[in-house]
Amino acid sequence: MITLERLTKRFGARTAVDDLSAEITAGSVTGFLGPNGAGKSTTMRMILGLDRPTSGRALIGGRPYQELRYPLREVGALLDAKALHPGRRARTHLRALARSHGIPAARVDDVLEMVGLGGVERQRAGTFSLGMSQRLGIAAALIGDPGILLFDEPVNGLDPDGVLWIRTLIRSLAAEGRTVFVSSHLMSEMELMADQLVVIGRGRLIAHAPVAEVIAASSQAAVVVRGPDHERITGLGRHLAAAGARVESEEEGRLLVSGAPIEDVGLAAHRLGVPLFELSSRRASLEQAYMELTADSAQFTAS
Amino acid sequence: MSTPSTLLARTGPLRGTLGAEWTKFWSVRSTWWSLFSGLALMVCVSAILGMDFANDVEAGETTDGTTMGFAEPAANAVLLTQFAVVAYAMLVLTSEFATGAMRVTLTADPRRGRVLLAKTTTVTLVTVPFALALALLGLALGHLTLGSHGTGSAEEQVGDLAAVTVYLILTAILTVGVGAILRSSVGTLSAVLVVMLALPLIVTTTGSEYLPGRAGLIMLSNEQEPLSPVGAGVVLAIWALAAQLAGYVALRRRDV
Ligand SMILES: Nc1ncnc2c1ncn2[C@@H]1O[C@H](COP(=O)(O)OP(=O)(O)OP(=O)(O)O)[C@@H](O)[C@H]1O
Ligand SMILES: [Mg+2]
Repeated sequence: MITLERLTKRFGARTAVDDLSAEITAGSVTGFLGPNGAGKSTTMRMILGLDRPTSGRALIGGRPYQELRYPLREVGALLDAKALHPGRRARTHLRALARSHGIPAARVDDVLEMVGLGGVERQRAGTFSLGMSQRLGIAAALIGDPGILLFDEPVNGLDPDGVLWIRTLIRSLAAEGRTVFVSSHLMSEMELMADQLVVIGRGRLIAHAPVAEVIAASSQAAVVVRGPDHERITGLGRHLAAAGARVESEEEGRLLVSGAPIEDVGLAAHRLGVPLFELSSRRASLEQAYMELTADSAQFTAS
Repeated sequence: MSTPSTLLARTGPLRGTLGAEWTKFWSVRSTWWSLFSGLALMVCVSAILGMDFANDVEAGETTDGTTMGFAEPAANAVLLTQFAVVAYAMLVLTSEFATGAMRVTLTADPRRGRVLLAKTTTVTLVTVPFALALALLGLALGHLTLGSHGTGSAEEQVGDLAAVTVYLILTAILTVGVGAILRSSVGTLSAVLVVMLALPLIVTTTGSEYLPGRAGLIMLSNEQEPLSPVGAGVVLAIWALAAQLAGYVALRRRDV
C-alpha cells in the first residue's frame, strides 16, 4: 500500500503537487491521471524518495522509502526508460541492480525472459528502441519481485503487441495481490487496465474513485428512453426532471436522462403508463469523463 | 511479494551497493579508455621529460644542474596524467546524473551517504593499484631515459613513488566529491582543472600552500618549505575529505 499524506512539492514559486492525500491499495491497479504538468511524475519521485516533499509525506507500507532496507524487494519502479547508461549492456545493467540486493544472477535471466528481451541481453542499452527500453525498465522494476509497482507512462512507445502485453502483465501483477500505481495519458488503455483512479490537476486531487464510478459521474452517461408516443415521452421527461434528473431530447420521442438510475426511469414509465421501445444505458467513455473532470485544470491547451 | 528463498538478500546494503558500483564501473567503455589514456600519458610525458633533460645535458644547454631525480619525470608527468584519473573518478557520478541513471541508483539504495561512500570506495579501490602502477612506470622511464644523468637514493625514490601514488588517490577522492556537488562532467572537470592546475600557478602568495593545488605540487616536488611533503599530503587529504562532505550534503539536500 502507498499512502500519500498531504503531499506538497513546490519548485520555487510553482506548486507542482498541492496537498495531495490518497491511499493506493493492494490487489488492484490504480490509474494516475492528469494533464501534462499536473504533477504525476513529481508525485512518483516523492514516493521513491528522489524528490523531497516541501511538506507532507509519502509512505510505503507505512514507512518512508528511505527507511526500506532492501527497497527493490518492496517497490519496483519505471520512471524514465531512457534513464540508464547507454554504453552498458542490458544484462549488466540488471546484474548491477541484482547485486545491490544480493539477488542471484539467475533472476536477471528470468526477468529478461519475462519481458521478452532474452535474445538481446548482450546489446548495449543505448542501442535499444524506446519500446525495448521500456521492457528493460520493467525488467528492472520486477527484479526484486516487489509487492508494489510504480509505472510512469509504461505503454509510451510500445507497439500494439507491447501494449497488450503490458496490460496483461499489469492486470496479472494486481491479481497476485500487488499494489500497482500506473500513470498514462491513454484513456482507452486506462479504462481497460485500471480498477481505481486518482485524477489530479495542477497538483490537486480531483477524483479518487473506482473507474466505473468516475465514468458513471460523467454527464455523458445517460439512460436512453424511446417510445412511440411523443407527448407521453415528453410527460415522462417532465416528471423525471421534477424528480431532479437532467433530461435532454434531441429528437422526438427520445430522451437522454442523466442523474437518475435506469431502474427509476423504468419504474416511472411504468407508473405513468408510457409505452417504451427502448430503455437502455449509454455508457460514457473514460475519456469523456476525464475531459470533464480536468477541463478547468489543463494548463497547456492549444487554442 | 511471494519472495522465493532465492531472492532473499544475502548481502548487507553497503556491500550490495558497493558490488553494484563495482559492476557498473567495469561495464562501461569510458573506464577502459581512461585507464588506457592514463598509462599512455604517463609513458609519453615522463619519457619525453627524461629524454629532453638528458639531451640538454649532453648538448650542454641545461640551466638547472646536470642531474635530475629519477622520479622527477614521473612527478611532473602526473600533472597531466591525473586527468585520466579525474575522468573515471568523476564519471561514476556525473554520467549517472547526465543520463538520469542516478534515479535508478537511488531507488536501489535510497541512503545517499551510502551511495557516495560506495562510489568513492570503488574509485579508491581502483586508484590505489592504478596510481602505484603509474608511479612505477614513470619511475622506470625516468631510469631508462635519464641514465647516468639521474640521481636519487633508493629511499628518495620510494618517497617519490609514495608521493605520486598518494597524490593521485587524494585527487580521485576529491574529484568524486566535486562531482557530487556539481553533477555535470564539464563542470567537474573544469573545477578540478582550475583547482589543481591553474590556481597554483596564479596564486603563489603565502598561505596558498594550504590550497589543494599548491599542496599537491609541494607533495610532488619533495620540497621541505613551506610545508613538508607529508604536511602537504595532509592538507590535500583534508581538502579531499571536505569535498566529500560537501558532496554528501549536496546529495542529501538536492532532488534528483
Ligand atoms: N525539477 C524541477 N524543477 C522545477 N520545476 C519542476 C521540476 N520538476 C517538475 N517541475 C514542474 O512541476 C510540474 C509538474 O511536473 P510533472 O513532471 O510532475 O508533471 P506530469 O504530471 O508528470 O506531466 P506529464 O504528463 O507531462 O508527464 C510542472 O509544472 C513542471 O514544470
Ligand atoms: Mg510525467
